[in-house]
Amino acid sequence: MEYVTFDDVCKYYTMGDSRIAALDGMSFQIRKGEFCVIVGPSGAGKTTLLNILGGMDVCDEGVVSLDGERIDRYDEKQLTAYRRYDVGFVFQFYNLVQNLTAIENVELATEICRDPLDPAETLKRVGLEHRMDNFPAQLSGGEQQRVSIARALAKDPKILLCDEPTGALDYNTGKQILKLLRDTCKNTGKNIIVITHNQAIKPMADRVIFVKNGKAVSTEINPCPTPIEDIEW
Amino acid sequence: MKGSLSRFIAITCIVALGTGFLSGLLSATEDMKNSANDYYIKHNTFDASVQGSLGITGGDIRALEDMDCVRDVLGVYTVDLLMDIDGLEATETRIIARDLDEAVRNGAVNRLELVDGRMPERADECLIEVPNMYGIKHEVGETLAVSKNNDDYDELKKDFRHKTLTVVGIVKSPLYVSINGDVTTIGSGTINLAVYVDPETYSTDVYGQAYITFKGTEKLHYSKEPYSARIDECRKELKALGKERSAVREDRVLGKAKRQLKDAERELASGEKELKQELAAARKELRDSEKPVRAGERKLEAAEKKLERSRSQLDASEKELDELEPVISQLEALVAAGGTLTEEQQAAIDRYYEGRRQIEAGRKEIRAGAKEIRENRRELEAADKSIAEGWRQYEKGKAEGEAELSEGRKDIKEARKEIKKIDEARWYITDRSDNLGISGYENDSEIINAVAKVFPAFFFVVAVLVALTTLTRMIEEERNRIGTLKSLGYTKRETRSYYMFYAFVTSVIGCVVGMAAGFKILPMVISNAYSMMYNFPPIKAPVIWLTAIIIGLVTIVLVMATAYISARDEVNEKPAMLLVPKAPKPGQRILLERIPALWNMASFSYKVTLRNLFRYKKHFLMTIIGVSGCAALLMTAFGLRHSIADIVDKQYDEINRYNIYFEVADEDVVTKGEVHDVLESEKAVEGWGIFSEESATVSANDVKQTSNIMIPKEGKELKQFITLRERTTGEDVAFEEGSVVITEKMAENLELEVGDRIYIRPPGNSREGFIVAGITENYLSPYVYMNSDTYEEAFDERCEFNKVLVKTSDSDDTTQNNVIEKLLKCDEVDYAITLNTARDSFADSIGSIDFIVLVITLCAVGLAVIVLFNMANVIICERKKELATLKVLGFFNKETRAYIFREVNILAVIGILVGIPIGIWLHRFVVHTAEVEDIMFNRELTWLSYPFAAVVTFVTVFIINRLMKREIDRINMVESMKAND
Repeated sequence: MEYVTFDDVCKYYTMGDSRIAALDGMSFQIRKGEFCVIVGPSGAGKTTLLNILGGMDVCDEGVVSLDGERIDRYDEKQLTAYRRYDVGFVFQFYNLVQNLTAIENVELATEICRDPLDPAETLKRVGLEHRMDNFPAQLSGGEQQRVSIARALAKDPKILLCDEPTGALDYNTGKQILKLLRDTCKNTGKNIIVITHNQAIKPMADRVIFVKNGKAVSTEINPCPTPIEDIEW
Repeated sequence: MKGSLSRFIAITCIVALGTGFLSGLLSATEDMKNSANDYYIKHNTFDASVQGSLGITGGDIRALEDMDCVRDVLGVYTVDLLMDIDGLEATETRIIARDLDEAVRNGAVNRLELVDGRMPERADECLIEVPNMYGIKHEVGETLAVSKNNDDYDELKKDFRHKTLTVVGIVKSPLYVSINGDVTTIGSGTINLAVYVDPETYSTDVYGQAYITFKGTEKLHYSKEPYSARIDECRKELKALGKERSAVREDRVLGKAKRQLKDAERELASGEKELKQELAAARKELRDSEKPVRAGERKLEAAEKKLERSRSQLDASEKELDELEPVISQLEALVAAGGTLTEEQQAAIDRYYEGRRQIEAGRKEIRAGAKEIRENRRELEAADKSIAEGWRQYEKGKAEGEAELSEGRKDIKEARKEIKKIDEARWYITDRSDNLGISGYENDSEIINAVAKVFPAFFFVVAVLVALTTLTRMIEEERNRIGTLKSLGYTKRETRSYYMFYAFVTSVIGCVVGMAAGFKILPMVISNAYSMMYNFPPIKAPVIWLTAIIIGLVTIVLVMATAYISARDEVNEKPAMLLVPKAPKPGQRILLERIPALWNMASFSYKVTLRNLFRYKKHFLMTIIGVSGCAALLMTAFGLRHSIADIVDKQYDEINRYNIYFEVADEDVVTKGEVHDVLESEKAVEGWGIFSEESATVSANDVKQTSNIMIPKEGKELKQFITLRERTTGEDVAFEEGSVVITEKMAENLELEVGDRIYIRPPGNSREGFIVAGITENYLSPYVYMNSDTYEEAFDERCEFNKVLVKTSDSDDTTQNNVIEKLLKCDEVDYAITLNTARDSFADSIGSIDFIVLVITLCAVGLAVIVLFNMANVIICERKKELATLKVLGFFNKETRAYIFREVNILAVIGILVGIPIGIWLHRFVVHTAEVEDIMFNRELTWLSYPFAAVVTFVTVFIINRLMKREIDRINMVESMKAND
């Protein structure tokens, strides 16, 4: 069953006189519960894809749907509600509110949700039960990213979007974060979409989508993904 | 570059506002004084003035002219009198006679400047001075006539060569710059019109006053030290000359008076002697003429006695004969019967008849004697009468003579008294600072200076804080640029110079814009407000370069120093570090979290807000100071307006309980006759009381001022017309026998408290001390209230009850005018005034305060706008990423905005709360400083200023929030993807 669908999606940006297509008829599908990695070089349209799927931007042409809902037809307000209730977002630079402790950062998201998970419980799940009352500045990068993931998870969203979640982390920490995401996917059955330029992590995904010049050039499906511990890069 | 535009505007505006306000307030006083000084110099204003208790003679003038320090002398004839001016009877007028052709010439002392009409050409024409009494405007073409209400009407009539004077021109002079008239001893005690005539029109034996200019004061500024030093120096010399000339004058006047007295005494003595002699002669003559009469009387009495005696002898003889009669009858019968008689018998009969004959003769003789005596007596009685008449004449003459003599004696006594009175010839030397208008203007312009000392402090502190936060933010944003520059090999100084230059440019532009407006607009507005009370030419508002340069330098240096400090960290850091994004400012627990009871009560969003508030201390401080300053200024401005406007209601509704007053020649006019009937019959009149009012000099603790003395005819009646109460407690102030109650502002000026001694000196009387029994609330004019007994006992002079206060049932104009019309129909009432007039004109004149209030309000709002705008702008820039993240997390626009606005609003609330005590203090300070000598403002801060300050501040906050809304909504969520900036 197709959970996420991109059908001939186009997005144009005007730069001076010329019109550049960031997404140029992108089409792909993701099934429910899959751990999906979207890879491609810089400027391939990964971020635009993420923005549109994350409800932060709208496409100019084509169909985008999630769980049967036509996101491309949403207005501003519906998009906000969509981000609020359906999407969990993990940023490359964590984007924690510096003035809030770990648990408060999670609470920041759960405050506005309908049926959030327990923030403390969620933090425990990402392995931060001892760091809950620390401010972001007191946490390591990996720990901060865990908070970020906990914040996204606590909302109990339909999908989890991760934008280069390991981009600002060292190798080992990055691995741990990826493991956490992978485990989360397995344990909760949530769709997780990781956007990265790191081709090496392809084997750990259920589905890998290759993006280039605003198009999804190919899709790979791993029937049995490799555990992250076994992947080296 | 968009962000940098609002930065640029923020710094420029706050600098402009600060420097503008400061330069305006600082230069207002200077400008006012300078334009006054220009005016004084242009009109060659007197440096000192001399009045003599016995006048100033031509010799005095010459002696003054001969002094080394004197530049010019002007002697004027002057008199204060009541004048009837076109239906306006008995206006207190001061006539000043001087050579008018000379008076308008350049360089003339107290030069007159013709502003309307023409110069007099005939002796029955005159000029009037511009400043007029409240409400009554005099114009060219009016005629003035010496009023019959003057006590010395006949004498004045002689001094004036013409019955009426026609106003042909209006002039300005430095003598009367205030619309408040000088003090005088006539009428209501205040001069309402100054009139200039030629000596041809009015002159007396001696000059009334001499105006003097000193050498070396031509170029000196009247309010500066060298001028007052020079004046002190010259006054000393003047004083010495005064002693000398006074002695001469005294000798002459006193010598003459004494000679006259001696002559009178001699005359009296000789008169006495003459009378005595005359009386003695008259007495002698009368006595002489009495003597023969008395002798005649005595003779007459002797003759009467003799006559009586002979009558009784005769009676005795007749009796004898009667006894003999029967014997004789028998004998005769015997003879008839023929008997004969013996010889003896015959002889007896013969004797008998002989006896009868003799008696008959005797009786005849007595009758003649009696007749003679009667005639003599009549003669004597006539003589007696004429002598008595003589005596009467004598007594009458004597009484007349005595009366004449005692009259002479009385005259001599009077003359002696007069001499005693004039025994001291003195010069009264005054200078410009004693001139009511000149010193009033000086004081009022100082008020602005006092205000100028406090207000700009806010603006400076805020300007620095705004510059600090803005520049810090700017430098943080441009961290990367600094890093690049440094890695390219730019030195610290070169790197820094960019920011220093930025600070320099913004502050210079701010200074130029601010001061260009400040030096021009604020002094104009302020002097415009004062022009309602003072008659000066429009103020010149030049840029005062020294002030401008100092303000400019201080401001520029402060802003640049701020830039230096802001850039210090970044500039000193290693380029490599600079190229890496700066770690965000770490979060912190705040103090409030230590109190879990309170902290746990706050909702999640408020916890975030509270943390943020205390995270950025600079913003916090800047906003609190800015907003509290705004709130305090608003409270002060609104409170000041109320404090001043409110005294009209307090004075005219609560303190003065009468509605109409009028003056009369004496109390009899009111106790019976026409006026009495009007007051008694008019329904609208609820009550009326007779009072005595005069101005006097009061003093205590080395402070002296003028005050009115108010004396009720019936002591009990005072409180019916004037409320006596303690201001703060509202308690009644007792007014009993012997009580002396004074008004509050005067008590303050003279540093008096209940139980202290106040000295009062009515014009032409001695100075006496009284114990202050009470201090009463009062706002407008100073008063001393006492009983007539107290006054008469102390000053040995009868009170003149000359004023009538009338209370009407209704205070509207119709009722008042109706009563006034009826009163004015009476011959004895020249004018009757409703307090509504005074009330309205005072209300008008304080309308000028609205200008100042408006200026302060606008500045306050401007301050709040800049600070809040800047602060909102800075926090939005700083938290762009945070806000974008919130949006990605699915915060609705409203929630995202609330995240910022909550912070702004809480800061505004804290700012207002902090502003309230500052406002209370500032209001008190400004009200106190703004009070001029006699007027007391309402020191209470109206409760309305709290909501006013709060509402205006919140509206400002609301508007800023509206403006910021778009900024927040426009933040792109893509920002959240970026690395830390």
